[in-house]
Amino acid sequence: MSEPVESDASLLVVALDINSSAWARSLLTLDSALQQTIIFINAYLALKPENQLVVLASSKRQCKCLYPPENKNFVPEQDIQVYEQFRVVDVCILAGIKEMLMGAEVAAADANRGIEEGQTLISRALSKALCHINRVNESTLSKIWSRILIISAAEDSPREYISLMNSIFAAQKMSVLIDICKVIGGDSVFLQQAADISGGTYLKLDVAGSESLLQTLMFTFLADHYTREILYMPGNEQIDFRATCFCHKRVIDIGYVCSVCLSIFCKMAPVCSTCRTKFSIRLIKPESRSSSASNGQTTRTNSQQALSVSNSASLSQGTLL
Amino acid sequence: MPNQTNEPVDEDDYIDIDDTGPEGLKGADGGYAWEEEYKRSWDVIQEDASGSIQSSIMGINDQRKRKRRLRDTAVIRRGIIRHVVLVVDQSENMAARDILPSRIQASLTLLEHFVGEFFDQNPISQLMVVGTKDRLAEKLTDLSGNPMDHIGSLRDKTNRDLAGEPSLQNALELGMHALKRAPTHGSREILCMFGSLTTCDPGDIEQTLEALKAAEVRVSMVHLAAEVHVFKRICTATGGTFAVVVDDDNMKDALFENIPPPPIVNDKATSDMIQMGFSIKANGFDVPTPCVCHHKLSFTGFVCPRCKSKVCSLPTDCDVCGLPLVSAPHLARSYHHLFPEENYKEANADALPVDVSGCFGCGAAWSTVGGSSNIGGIAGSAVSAVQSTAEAVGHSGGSGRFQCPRCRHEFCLECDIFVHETLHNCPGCV
Amino acid sequence: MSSSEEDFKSTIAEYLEALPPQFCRRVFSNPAACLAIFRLLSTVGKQLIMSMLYLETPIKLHDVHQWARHSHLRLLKSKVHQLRKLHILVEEKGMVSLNSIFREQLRNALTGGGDFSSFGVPYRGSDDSSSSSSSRVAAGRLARYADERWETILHFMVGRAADVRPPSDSVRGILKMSKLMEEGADGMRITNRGFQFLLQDSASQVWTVLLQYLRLAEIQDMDVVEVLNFLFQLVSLQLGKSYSAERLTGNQRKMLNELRDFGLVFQDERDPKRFYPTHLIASLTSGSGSSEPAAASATGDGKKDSGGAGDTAVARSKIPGTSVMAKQRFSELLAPSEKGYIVVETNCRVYAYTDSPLHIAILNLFVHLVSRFSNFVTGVLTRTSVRRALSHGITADQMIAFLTTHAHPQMQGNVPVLPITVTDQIRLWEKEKNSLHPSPAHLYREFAQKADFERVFRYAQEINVILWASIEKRQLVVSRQGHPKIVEFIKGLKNQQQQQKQNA
Repeated sequence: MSEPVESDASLLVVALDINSSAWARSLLTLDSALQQTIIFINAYLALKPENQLVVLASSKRQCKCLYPPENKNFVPEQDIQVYEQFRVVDVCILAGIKEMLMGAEVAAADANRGIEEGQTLISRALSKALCHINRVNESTLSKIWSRILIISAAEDSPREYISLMNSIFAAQKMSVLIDICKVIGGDSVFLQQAADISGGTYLKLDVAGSESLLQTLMFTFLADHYTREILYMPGNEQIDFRATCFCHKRVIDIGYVCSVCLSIFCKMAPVCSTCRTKFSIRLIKPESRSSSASNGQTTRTNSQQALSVSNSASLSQGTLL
Repeated sequence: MPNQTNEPVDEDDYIDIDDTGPEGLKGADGGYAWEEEYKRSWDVIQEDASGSIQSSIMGINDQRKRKRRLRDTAVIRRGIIRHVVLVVDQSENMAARDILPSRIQASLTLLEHFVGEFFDQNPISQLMVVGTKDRLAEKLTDLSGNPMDHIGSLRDKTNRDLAGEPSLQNALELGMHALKRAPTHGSREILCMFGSLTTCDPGDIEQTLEALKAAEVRVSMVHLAAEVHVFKRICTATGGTFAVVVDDDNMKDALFENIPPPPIVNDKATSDMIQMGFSIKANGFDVPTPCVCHHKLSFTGFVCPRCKSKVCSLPTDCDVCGLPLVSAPHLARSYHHLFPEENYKEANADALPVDVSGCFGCGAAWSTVGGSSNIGGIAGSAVSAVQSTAEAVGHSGGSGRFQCPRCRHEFCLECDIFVHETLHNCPGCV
Repeated sequence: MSSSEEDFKSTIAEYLEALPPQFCRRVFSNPAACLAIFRLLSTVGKQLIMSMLYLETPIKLHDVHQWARHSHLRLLKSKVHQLRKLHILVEEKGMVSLNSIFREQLRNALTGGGDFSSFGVPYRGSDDSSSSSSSRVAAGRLARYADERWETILHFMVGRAADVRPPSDSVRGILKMSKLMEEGADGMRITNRGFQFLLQDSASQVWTVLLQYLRLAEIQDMDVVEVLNFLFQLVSLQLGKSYSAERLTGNQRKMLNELRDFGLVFQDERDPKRFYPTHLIASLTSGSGSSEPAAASATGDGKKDSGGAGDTAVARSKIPGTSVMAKQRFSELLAPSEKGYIVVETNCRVYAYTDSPLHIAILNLFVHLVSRFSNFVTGVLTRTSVRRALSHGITADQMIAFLTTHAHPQMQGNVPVLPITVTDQIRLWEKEKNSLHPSPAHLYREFAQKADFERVFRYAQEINVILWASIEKRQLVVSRQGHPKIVEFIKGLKNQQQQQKQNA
């Protein structure tokens, strides 16, 4: 993998969490957060003319691509105040979010079928983001350094765990950084892992002040791959990679894993509750060291005794294609 | 490969021909491959009206991609925890230059990728590398879960010295001996990378075969030159695969076929609960401390929950107490083998609904699919170029739209391949 | 030679550094200018500005230095220094902050607040409804127009004046003033500097011309800030849109006319109320027409010296696994003029898929052309041909950079793009040429006595004028500057000896 060069273009995918019930709980309004995010996006576009951008918005039940707009015929009004490139992006984002929020109000009339308040389709946003990055990578010759910024408000939803993890590993494989800016609420363990595995940065806003989001975005998340090699990035002191057992939802240090479906348990059980596999009685402690130095010796001496016989035999047996 | 069929085997044939493999001897019209007219690669490429061969090449590329698209998605029991012995032929036959730069060079570089990819896809599995040359088999690395050890040994220059003839039997015996000690809940596999048409063995390889069967070891082989009867028989008898490499690209495909965990066929495989440690990443050391695995000083590391020793990367086995150390994400990484995404179905080109929005994944409009994306500031003169490309793709057949049977969202070919090969979850279904 | 080369490489950033602070402040009062200047900075410089853009209070310089990883501290310091030279960063008692005008206007640029028409006034004619379709100039035509204009000028420089129309007086004036060409006995003649100019990528060429234009404006007593602001406005215009020329000042109209001769803007003669920026100028900072790293040549951090060619090669390095198809797609996205067309083989043979006389003429500067077909020329890089180019003042790096930027899409996938053998050979030829350095000198020989020679030798050593000396042969070569002193000294020596004789 080549090292980033100063002139390399980058691709940024911003995934906005616009879950209204999560935002309702915070001091920072969605409106003002949106404004600050748009300034950040403009700043990103200002950095380099080659910089590419995708903006996704994700709510409780849908995830939409705001920029580039899904409706290709969309042409915003002309406005002399703003730099052309910025204006198109800004208008697209605002219009898209408005549309989504309006749609959400209508949908709120429906029964919340098993969807808990305050959870967002983060893994769908992440999957879509990776699809976009993949397409850009496939269609351009020069190396594009991609990263994803998730501005997250909602809490983790356990049912997303597997898909989220799949996305994170795909990102790691594609050397895509996942940056997380957690705006509201407590730490998200899933997203912390996402940032750590992919080499991105995780930051939680302490105070939901009016300007602190923008300053954080500008200071930390604007930096591209190259800049991150030069400047310090805030790091996470300790990340919890421990597992939660499937049986009691306890965080465990040492656990037991079903060899068939990899479910994690805190205690020995005769039957796996996930895949219904019956386990053999004894507990197998894995033997990692199979030191077979003597073994290698014996084959050595063996082979030196009878050689040419089997050689010709296998030749005669061999059928050429 | 135009002559690929799955015709039933003619039982009465006096030569034992197996037509089920990709290198079947019978052509599409029922004749033998050598009876067919030789197909020259440049005959396949047709110029279009303007004399350009671009559309033709694109068509071929798309076809190749589509072929890769379809894979087995049935939910079957797979041996997620694998124990694999990698046998590398280091005989003089590997010096041949029919694969550039040489067979051995190409194999070792490819195997390096293989090891990385293997542990990426099978994080809690274990690997061992065995080399065979000069009628001997030699263990290059121990059975372990640390990819760096194996990659290191494959990179080792001394392992590139070639000598004499290989011994398959010795290699199998050595591998089998190591695998016998592996726990029964994991699969036992031997994967051979061979370039020799001969093997020089000390005894009767049939006996080894019986022993392999008894120990439930699955032998697979990737052969760089040609099909050899005895090799193939060992593979098929133990339930493994045998592949012959056609060219460089095919070499990678053939080897990487072995990366997804194989389905478990025999009933004897037991299932167990394995004790594992979930270690915590620790960054906050004031002074660098050595890790127990490489004795290198570093500020970060993972601490074994049982013996509190520090290792530098996961997944691995604790060098002090032998506890397998993983992180919760590693287990999650294997889940996609257990619950594979369903294949998308290609929508019929004739019955397409009019739809303004594009691919659900990447958002590319259907009219530009196959051309370049229009994301970002590429504007102006570029647009016409994109459209012409899209037209070129248009007549390569198929609608280029693939529908997920579960969520009914439509995807482009790029996203389809990406979702199934890299991402492993459908953006519409999650 | 070296000093003129420095001058030649000077960039817009250096020009801005040289401006007095009050001028800078006036330039900064324009959001478009702030944005354009911002884009010209280095990546780290940009990050520094963005980090401080929304800080209301000054911060300690020491704290800023803490941002960098230890191994890159020097780099960060140099960037901070550069920003201070540009008057963007203000330091007071160890505390730094952004220039308040710059900060405000850059914020305005990002938020769309503040002033008026700094990003150009889009044209809204009376026939607004139809303007979008019928009378608008197609992007393709615009690109053709720009390329044609620009290539005519380059062509004129190469000296095939017979088959091209000579460009306008103002263009020739600028060419002459920038010393790219000079007045010879039989009309205009290209200078060594002109040869170097030809091999640059088009963004650097445009910047060179614009800088020259600024100097011209100074001489003609135009308001530099006004010119500069208009230039920055031009570079931030959107390609493919038309802008109103009605509200421009007299000077700006004059500029517009002259830039039109270079093909940087387009104005339909029947419709003088509006103008279109072409990809030549729009690509400088907005990058909409070009895939070239436009700012690379203008970042002005001195990185574009010998390492330049290597950087380009890395930047273009192929992603493993990119299919041939993707490459083809990529090449289709480029304007026809920017598609690569040169194939270089390891045996120094050069194949160029071009029928443009300009391309052929430029190649002819350093390639020995062998045969020419209707759309294709072949040639060889030979020692003679490369040495001829070197004698014109073209450097090896420039040749390599030219071949790299214009490499055929088939070659773009290689890492590095050009075969190493060829690049090494070109560099070796350059070294070989430089190893022989002529300098005027005087030879002293046939010293009668060893002692005499040694005294002269020691004296020459002291004043450091020896080019070559052989004690055995009693020979001494002294540079021209040292010659009079040595003559004096020898005369003095002879006088001394005569006196001693007389005394004896």
